[in-house]
Amino acid sequence: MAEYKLLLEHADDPAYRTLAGYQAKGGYQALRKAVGMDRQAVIDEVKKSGLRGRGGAGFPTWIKWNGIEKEKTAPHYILCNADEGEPGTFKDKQIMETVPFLMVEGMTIAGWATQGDHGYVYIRAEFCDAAKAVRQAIDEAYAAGLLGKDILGTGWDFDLDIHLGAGSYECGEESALMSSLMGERGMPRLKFPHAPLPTVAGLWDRPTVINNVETYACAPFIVERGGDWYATLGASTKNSRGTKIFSVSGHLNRPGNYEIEFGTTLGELIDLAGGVKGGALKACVPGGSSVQILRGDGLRDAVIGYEEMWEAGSMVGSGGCMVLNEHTCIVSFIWRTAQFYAMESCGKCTPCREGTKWMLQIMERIVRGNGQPGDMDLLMEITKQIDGRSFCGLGDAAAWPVAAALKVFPEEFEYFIKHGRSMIDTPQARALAPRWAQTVGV
Amino acid sequence: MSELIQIGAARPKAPQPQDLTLRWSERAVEELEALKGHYPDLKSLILPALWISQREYGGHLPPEGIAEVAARLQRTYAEIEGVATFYSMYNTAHAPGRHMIEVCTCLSCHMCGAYRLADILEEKLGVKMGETTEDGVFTLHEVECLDACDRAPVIQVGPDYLDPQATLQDEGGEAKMRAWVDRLIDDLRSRPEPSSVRLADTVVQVHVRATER
Amino acid sequence: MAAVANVPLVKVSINDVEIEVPKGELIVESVKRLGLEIPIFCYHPRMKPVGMCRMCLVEVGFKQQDGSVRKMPKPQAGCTLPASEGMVVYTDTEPIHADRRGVLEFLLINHPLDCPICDRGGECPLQNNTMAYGPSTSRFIELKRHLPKAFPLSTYVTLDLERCIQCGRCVRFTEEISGDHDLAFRFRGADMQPSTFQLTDFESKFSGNVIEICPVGALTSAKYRFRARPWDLETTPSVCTVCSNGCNVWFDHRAGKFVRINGRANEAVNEEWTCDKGKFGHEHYNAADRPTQPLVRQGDGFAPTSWSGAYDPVLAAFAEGGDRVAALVGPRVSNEALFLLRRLFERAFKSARVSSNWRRTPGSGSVQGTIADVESGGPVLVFGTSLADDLPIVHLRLRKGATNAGARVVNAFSRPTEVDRFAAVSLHYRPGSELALARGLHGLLAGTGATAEAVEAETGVPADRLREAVEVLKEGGTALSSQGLYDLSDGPQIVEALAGIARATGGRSECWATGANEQGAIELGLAGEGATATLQACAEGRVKALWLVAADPFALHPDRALVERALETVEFLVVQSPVGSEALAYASVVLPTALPAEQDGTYTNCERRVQRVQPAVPPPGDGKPDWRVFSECLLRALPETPLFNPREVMEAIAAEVPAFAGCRYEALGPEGTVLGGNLLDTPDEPAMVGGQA
Repeated sequence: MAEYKLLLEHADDPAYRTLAGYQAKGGYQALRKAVGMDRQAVIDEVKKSGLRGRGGAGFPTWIKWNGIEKEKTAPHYILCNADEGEPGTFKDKQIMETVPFLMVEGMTIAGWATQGDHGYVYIRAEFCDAAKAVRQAIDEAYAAGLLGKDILGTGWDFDLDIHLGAGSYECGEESALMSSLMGERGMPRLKFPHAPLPTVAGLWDRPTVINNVETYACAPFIVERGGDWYATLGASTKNSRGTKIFSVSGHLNRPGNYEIEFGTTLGELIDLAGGVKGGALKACVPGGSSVQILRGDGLRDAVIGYEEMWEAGSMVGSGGCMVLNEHTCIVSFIWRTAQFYAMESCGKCTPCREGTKWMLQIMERIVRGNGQPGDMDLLMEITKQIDGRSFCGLGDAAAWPVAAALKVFPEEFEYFIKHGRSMIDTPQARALAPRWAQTVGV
Repeated sequence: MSELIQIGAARPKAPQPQDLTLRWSERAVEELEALKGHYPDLKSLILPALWISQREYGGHLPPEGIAEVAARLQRTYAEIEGVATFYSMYNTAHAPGRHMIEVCTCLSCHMCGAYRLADILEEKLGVKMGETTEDGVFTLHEVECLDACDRAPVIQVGPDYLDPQATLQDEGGEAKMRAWVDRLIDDLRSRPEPSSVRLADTVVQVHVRATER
Repeated sequence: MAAVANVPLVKVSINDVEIEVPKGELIVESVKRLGLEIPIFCYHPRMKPVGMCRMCLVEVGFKQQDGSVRKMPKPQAGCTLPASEGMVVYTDTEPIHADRRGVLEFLLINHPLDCPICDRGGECPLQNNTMAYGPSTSRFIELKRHLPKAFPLSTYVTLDLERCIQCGRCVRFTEEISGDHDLAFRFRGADMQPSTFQLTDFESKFSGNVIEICPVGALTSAKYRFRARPWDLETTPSVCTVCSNGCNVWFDHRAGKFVRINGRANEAVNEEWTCDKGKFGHEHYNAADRPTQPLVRQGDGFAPTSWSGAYDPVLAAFAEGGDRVAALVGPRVSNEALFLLRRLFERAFKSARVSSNWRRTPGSGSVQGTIADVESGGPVLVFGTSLADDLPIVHLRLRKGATNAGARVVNAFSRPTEVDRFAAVSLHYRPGSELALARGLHGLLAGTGATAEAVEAETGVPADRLREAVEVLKEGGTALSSQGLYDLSDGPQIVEALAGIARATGGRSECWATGANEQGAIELGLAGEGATATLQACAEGRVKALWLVAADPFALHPDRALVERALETVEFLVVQSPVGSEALAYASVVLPTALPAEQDGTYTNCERRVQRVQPAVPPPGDGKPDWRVFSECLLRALPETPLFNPREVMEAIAAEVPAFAGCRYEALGPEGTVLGGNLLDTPDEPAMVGGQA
């Protein structure tokens, strides 16, 4: 399998970011078709397509759209999670910067299908260029009657606004994102069965669809070309349909976003990105920092699909694929991963708040050369005390990478703890470490 | 007996809303008014209002800036301070220098040499991460993932993502980084508008619809 | 098991025992029906459950059609989980024990473990849960965080950030219960900590409650700091007598001395909350200047004497005094003492000149509903009172009504108060224009031709606000005010106008007393001519002997000069007081008495609820309860058999005062009893105040 540019087909064409350029390439045909269809028919196409959430959870999208009440009793919202925070992921950034209309049209289609009244794109505040491109796209759509009142003469009104975050990874969690949009600290909310689903009571307790940027961006293709067509892509996998944009970064010759059909292998993906740079392939974290690290031998053959990745011992996740060459100290990599989660933990629940900081303290002590026997077991136990016990997925996301690395690269941890320095003693590896970690002696 | 153990038992009182000096410009007030139409309640305006306040207070969000948001949205000071201190981009802890250079040292950036880049910046400016140069022009700040990993190692100054277009895995990568840092510092020094004000303004403007301008 | 009205029952299985519980009931409550307990920290039954601390994790499954149980892959928080049909819960498995150990380990790694110097030690949920479920050793060898300890957040509350386990109860209390939202979490992650804005004064009038609900020693009482260990304390169920709300409290004491007040549950009155005035308003029990011995005037000073030595000159001075003798009684005197005082004056001294009314104008207010009725959800007009100051617990109830039951509140006061935070309409009027506003609103509601513009001119309240208020109140609006209105020269007319408003809207008219037993004095007919008239009569020599009963006129009356003239002129002054008083300097005889928690007696709160307070500590020295003083005087003055215990006095009250018909100690019940209720039908209950049987 090779690259399959569906969403990114016209990403290199600057005109595609304007309404004129977008429509010249067939943009908004999908919306025109959708508003001529039964709302339920649109949802059925999404069901046929097999589209699963592209933010990381892989939840069947049609179930969310279908979960909005058919008899309208309250305002309905369409919420786009554009708070791309997962380390290693930058696909939504590109979508918003280069093909923003796909997302805007996709959200409008979702609004049509679910009797939506108002949509919000929650973008992380660091993404200024992306936000400006989306702003421009929305303004143009309003001016052309493709947003706002009486869209395409249907009598249906749909508003779309942008709302920026202010620096918090947890706000990429859908319920924390809602809290943040409603003016609170970015803390997650109770989930089903403790509270109704967002499709029943989401923003301001009203029915809300929440999807990722990429998920919405797939919608125009599904409506225009049909769900059955979309489902032909990725048909070699068990249940992963369509294309997925993978953000490939790290030790590569051509880091960037690469859109591939499900069923492609990790090896093919890495080759698309120009292959490993600066040394042999050692490891790969295929789906964003939260997913389990895969060891070099054999990882090239891993098939990209939700079930397939799980069987290989990792996950598709957000599609943020970080590639590491032989001059990588895994312990250092995991230390920095632990720091990320400790800094981003919202603090609501005990296991994540205390556990992420404790893991960081232990990892930092190891990287400083003061690892103690028993540290590995202790770390593993801490991950078990967090995983599944936290209030939201961030706790799990903090625990998995540490637990996986301990299982997959135990010898590096053992070495660092025993000798007080990294097992990977090459100049290239040492050059990457922070100054205070480099001065570690024997 | 127990009173003796308490040092300075009388805490200062929070200011009354009517005693506050409100500093927002007319433009800021208009922007807030326009944004009210985007949400069904005032509470949802808290994050955009804090950005407006950060712009109005020169790129810094001091207690006065927080209190002004609370007064304008009829919420309590404690609640607004709680929200402001949760998010890393509200500069509540201290006023940044004219240009805050935020260095991502997270995973892919780390793997491509972000800590080396951070060292180079520290040497060039003569300050450590988290500090501001004596002339108040530059603040160095370490941040978590900026999610532009294909450009690793990447930094953010105001609204802009910038990168040296070189990694430590490249031939002569470190030298390229150094040269780039020199150019970057010179360029930033020549820009008078504080980056954090430019960032806050960009954020606020993105909220405002074309029809509301 | 009876279902709550309209809520269906569902079958759930808890530890393999099947029970029926109301659908949606939180599992953490359902398990209590089986006598089980799930450990918690952040959960509080009176606040929205948040599931933050993760201490309450349980294993959950759902019965399938085929009888099998589909287990949820992760343990679930029992405090947020609503019961549903076929739910299967396990609270006591090995994995759950491991989870609890895990949570406690996490909480303890940054906890300073300074129990030896922590006031919470001995009554600490963290200690208790750790003993029951926690690890006994620590695996943490990193550096613990260091944060401000013993930080005075206010004169009442001390903050220790190292001990905080970030359960959020304090923050949620200020958000959901007191509504002032003075506390919020700052920062995030492991740095997250509760704080006031910039650590300024924690000004909430209900701040003391966070001390009680904090599960660790992060928020402690500055007044109680280092004073005792909980296992040294004895506790007596009691009633606060600082104001008229009559909140139920625990009166903690040690070796006969008052130590502290904690809230006690009474669903009808204060639920379980206190206000700061009450919680921290009992220090005078230990004041050094409390009278301890009967004293008689000797030259410029006093000579100690026995009680009989004191009674003789008193009875001589007051005997057959008629109009020339008078008594002024304070707001915190028990029903029994008030009744006997009146009997003493009427029968022994032939005098009707007994007065409990210290307000400027006469009036007895109005009580038509109860404190709990305030939260029912109907519209309410709060008039002329800073509710959180005058009737604090009523303020909390009203706020509950506004936020939970959608009650629309109109707040009319001369300046902003806490009620404005949840009021639908605020009417800030010019001071002095109360009557104009009350009459104006009445006119607008009764449609008597008044115009909003005219009322605006008189009061300064914008006309459209007035119209909004009328819209809110016109269907069943209740007028709620305090008898503080009688401190205004046109008080009675204002109260009259408010009563008119209630008639026009079909709502209730509530004008409630603010003194602990002010309502009781009204019920027992002691309002009298008013203190001003009595003091005037003293100053002009028309009254020759004055008996002050637990009343310092310098504190209770605004006209210092009049009080001075009165006390100087009067020939014989009895100062009967449990505490130091400025009036002592003028006394002819000093009679030391007991404070409410040092005697047996009942008090009638603002909603006419009679509650009994039993003695917790002895009065200092030779102090006696007020009722006993009067009883002993009656014994000496009259040939009839006196009443020798408060129970008998209450029986006499019930016989003589129609409002108290059927009232007796055995019938009061655990929540006290509202007068005018079905006292005659109430079966006997165990005779304990606030009833912890």
